[in-house]
Parts: sequence; C-alpha cells; structure tokens
Amino acid sequence: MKIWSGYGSEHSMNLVLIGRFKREQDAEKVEKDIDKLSAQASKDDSHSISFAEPEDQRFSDDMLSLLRSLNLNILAPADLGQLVSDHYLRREGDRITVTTEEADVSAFVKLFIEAGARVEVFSAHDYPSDPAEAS
Amino acid sequence: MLRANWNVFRDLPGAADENFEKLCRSLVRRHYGHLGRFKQLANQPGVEFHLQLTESCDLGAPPRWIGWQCKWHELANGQNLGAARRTNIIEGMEKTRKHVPGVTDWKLWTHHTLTRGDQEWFFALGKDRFPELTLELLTATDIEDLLVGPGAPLRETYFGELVLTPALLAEQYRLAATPFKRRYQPEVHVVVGAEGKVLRRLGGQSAWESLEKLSSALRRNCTGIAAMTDQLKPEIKAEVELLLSRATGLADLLDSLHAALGKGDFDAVQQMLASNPSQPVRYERLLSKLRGARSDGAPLAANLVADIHAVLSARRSLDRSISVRAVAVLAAAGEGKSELAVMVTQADGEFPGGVLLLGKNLHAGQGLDELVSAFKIAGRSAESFDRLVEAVDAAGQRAGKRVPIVIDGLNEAEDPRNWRDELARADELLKDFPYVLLVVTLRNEFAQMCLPDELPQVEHNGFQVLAAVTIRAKLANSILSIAAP
Repeated sequence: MKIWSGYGSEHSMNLVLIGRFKREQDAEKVEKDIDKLSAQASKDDSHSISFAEPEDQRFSDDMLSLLRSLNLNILAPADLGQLVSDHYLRREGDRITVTTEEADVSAFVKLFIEAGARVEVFSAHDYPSDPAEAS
Repeated sequence: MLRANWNVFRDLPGAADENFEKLCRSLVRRHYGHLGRFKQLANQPGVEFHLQLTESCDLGAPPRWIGWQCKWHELANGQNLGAARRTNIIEGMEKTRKHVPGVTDWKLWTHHTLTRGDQEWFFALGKDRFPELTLELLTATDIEDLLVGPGAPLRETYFGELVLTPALLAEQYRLAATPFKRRYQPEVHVVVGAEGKVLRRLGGQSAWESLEKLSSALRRNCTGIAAMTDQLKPEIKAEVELLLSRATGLADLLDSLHAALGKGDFDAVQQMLASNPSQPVRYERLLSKLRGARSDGAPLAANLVADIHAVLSARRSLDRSISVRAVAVLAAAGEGKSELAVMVTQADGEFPGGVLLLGKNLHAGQGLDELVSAFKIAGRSAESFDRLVEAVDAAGQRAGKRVPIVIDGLNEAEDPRNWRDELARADELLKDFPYVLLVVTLRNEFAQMCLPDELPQVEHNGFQVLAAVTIRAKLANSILSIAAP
C-alpha cells in the first residue's frame, strides 16, 4: 500500500541555508559581523522595519556607523529584521549553517556572498539530514 | 458713507506698510479673488499679488492679468516721491516683467494721490519703458470704495470699532482665564499630544519645526551621498543625481514653507503646496543597483528615500492642518481640557493669544451670538459670533498668526444639544476667515450630541507618564533655581 505523504500550507519552511567559505577565518568574520549586526538590530527594533511606514524604513545612526565600520553596503533596512528573527546559526570550520522556520533569509545570503561564500538554500522537508524523512 | 479713519489705521499693531499691503490684498481678494487665479507669495518680486482674470468684471476681461504693488510711503499729502522711491517703482516694473511676464495691467496703490509731476512721470513710464503694461494709480479713495459688500468687515477691523489689538486680547484673556488660575501652574505645563495637534493646526512656525529638521536631514544626506557616489558607473550616477536633485528641491520647498509659516502667510503655503504636487517615490531599483555596486552611498541613499517619503507625509499633514477651520478636543473628566484651553489661548512671544470662552455660559435656547457677548472689544460686547470672527481674523492677519477662538467645556452648557447646529454654522462661516481656528473642548460622551459629523476631533489623553516625568524635571529645576543663592 502506498502511503501518501505531504504537508499543508500551515507547515513551516524548515529552511536550511549553508554558506561554504574559502577560508575558515572568512566564516569566523561573518559570524562575528552577524553577532554585531544582530545586537544593533535588536536595539533598533529592526524587526518592525518591514512593516513600518515607508518614511520609517531607514537605518539608525548607530546602524549606519556599524555598516560603515564593517564596510557592508549590501543590506536594505528591511533586511535587518531577519537578523533578529527566530533562527539558529552554527559555524563548523569554514561552513555556517542557518536554520529557520521563516522564508526571508536575504540578509544572510547577502552577507555570505559578500564574504565570498558559495551558498546553498533548501527546505529540510525536501532534503532532510536523514533521507528517509524526505517528504 | 463714513470715511475711513486713517488715524486708527496708523495706530494698528504692526508696521503700517505691511498692514497697508495686507488690507489692499484682502480687499482685492474679497472682491475679485473668485474671478480669476489670484496669487500672492512672500517676497513676490515686482508685484505683491496678482490676478489672472478668468471672468469679466470691472477690472477688465480675460486674458487680462492684473498686478498690484502697494506702497504706503510715509509722505505728506502733496509731497513728491523723490528719486529713491521712483527708482524703487521702476524696479518693481522690471521685476514684474521678469518674474510675472504675463501681467498686462500694473497698478500702483499708494495712500495719498501722487503729485501732478509724479503722475506725469509715472504714466510716461508706460509710453517710454513699459509699453506692454497698462499703468494705473490707486489711492486711499479706491480703498474706501472697496470697503463695502464683501470688503465691508475690513472697514471696522482696520479703521473702526472692531480693531482687536494684542493688548485687548490679553486683557480679555486675563479676565476669562482668572477662574482657572488656581487650578494650573503654567511653569510646569507640558505640551501633550492633543495640544501639539492644536498648535500645528494654528500653523505656528515652532509647531512645524519638523519641516526645518527634515530639510536639514535631506541636505545632509545629499552631501554625504554625493561624496560617496563619485566612482559609480555613469548610468547609475545619473540616476543618483536625479534623486539628489529631487531631494534638494524638496529641501528648498520645506524651507520656503517654514518661512511662510513664520510670516503667517497661509495663502502662500497653500499656493506652494498646490504648485509642487507630490510625485510618486520609486527608487527601489536604484537602491538595489547601489547595493549591487557595493556603493558606500547605498545605506545613506536608503535613508534619503525614507526622508523623501517623510516629506510627502509632512506636506499632507501641513495641508490638512491649515485647511482645518475648527477642531474638537475630546477628553474624559479631569483630563485637562480646560488647561489645554487656557494654554492655547495664552499670548506667547509673537503669538498674540486667543479668545477664551466658556461653554457653561451658553444658556438654553441661546447660540454662539449670545455666548460671545462676554467678549468685549473697546469696552463693547461683541455683537455676534460673525463680528467677533471678523475682528479676530483681521487681528490674525495683521499679526501673521492664526488666532484661536476656544470654547471650553461644551458639555457644561445648559442644553448641550444647542451646539450641533451652531458649530455647523460656524464651520461654514470660517471658510472665509483663514486666520481663525475654532477649538472646542468637551467630554467624550457628549461628542455625538454636540458635534456636527464632519468636525475634526482630537482625543486628549491627559497628562500621562512622559508628561509626569517632564513635570517632575521642571519642578526639580524650579526648586534648584529657588535654592540657588
């Protein structure tokens, strides 16, 4: 008997984002940058930017300074909310893996690519670490 | 017809030349403003105001375009203009030719009739130097001719018994505010949300400091971006330059609006808003290109685009605020409605103060006309609400400030149901008096009973946490200053 396996729209993304960097220190730097950006984004309540009025979709003065010091010009104000979203980030050597239930991960993709990483994005529903659990 | 008393005019608050210009402008606007496109701008070069006729009238027929220059000239009757004044008049015509080239009729309006020699000189200008202009001289007699019909209220508000001066306003305010003196301490008063909204509707320059701040932010961001985007590809750079040009233009507009508010020139504010319509803000692709080019200017450009959105929001808010003729402030009992009423009618610096009336003085079967009789101008009770509005409007125009007439506590009237029709009538009347803002305060639960449906409402939530903190800080400062030797 074939058992049909699927999931409805209420299912989460179960998104996995993997960045493989050329050197371990590149991955280390990105990890630290994300820590700094997340801390500032949290102070700035950046999670609300994407829902804010267009006139409030802006960087704070402190965030501008931080971006300048990190030499990062690739983020949009609305990206910052992703850095304070529910996600799990793990670095193993030259590899950083981000897992999240949310769909918007452009901030991580931009930061990874900016540091020279090759990026892989998929849903763990389709590509679970245990292939037997694939939907 | 009674002759206008120019001695009263000379004693009016403010500079006589400015009052003369305001009076002439009001008269033309009232008589002819609806017959064409009437324009006036602060620092209008050449003519103070002009009218492009769209309908025929005793001024002429379309396409005639009439410009007025008003010169009070502190001269005795029969005294010659002199070389400097003549040069000034010629400059006015030259500036008109340059800045308002469509003007066909140029009218010089002076207090006294020019001497024969000056008249000959003036009309020779038309033949010799300005053949495209039809020249005309107007004098005080023409003013008196226009102080009838729609201009009649100006006879008493500029020359007669309805001249309301800041001193008269202050005296009436002192009497009206006395019952509240023991209840409030002005030293620890904090402007809260609802009061801020009323002050913005009064169009005071200080209530619109945000325009100045926004203009500074735009210019600062433009300078920063220009310095960081020099190395971009030409096609992206061209788009950035367009963005910067737009932002600079908006900063100029904000500065002009702020300056016009400072002069109380609300017509100019509305003209500027109308002649600079909002354009859509579509810079997402440019911002993406800047980020893609890893330009140092990309983050600042995102903020500049947000600033442009903020300008659109500010101009909408300004447009709405100065168009409002009346506003109701709603609050629960004990939330500070009366304090707000007392504070917004208090003279402050150049602001001459306002008229404070009490809703409890409205007795059953009475209307606004009876209520305003408590207000006295030159010792006589205001005859009617209309007359009070005329006097207040002229005082506001002279002061360059919108003046509030505040009725505190509508719910305290003997029969609060009386207000609804009275306020609807007042709102309609105020359409012709841009320098008056009617403010009424009442308890929330009386809103439906007292207010016409279309009357804008503002919720007053009393003096809450932030205000309490500020009050504590002010008290601490007061105590320290008293303790200091």
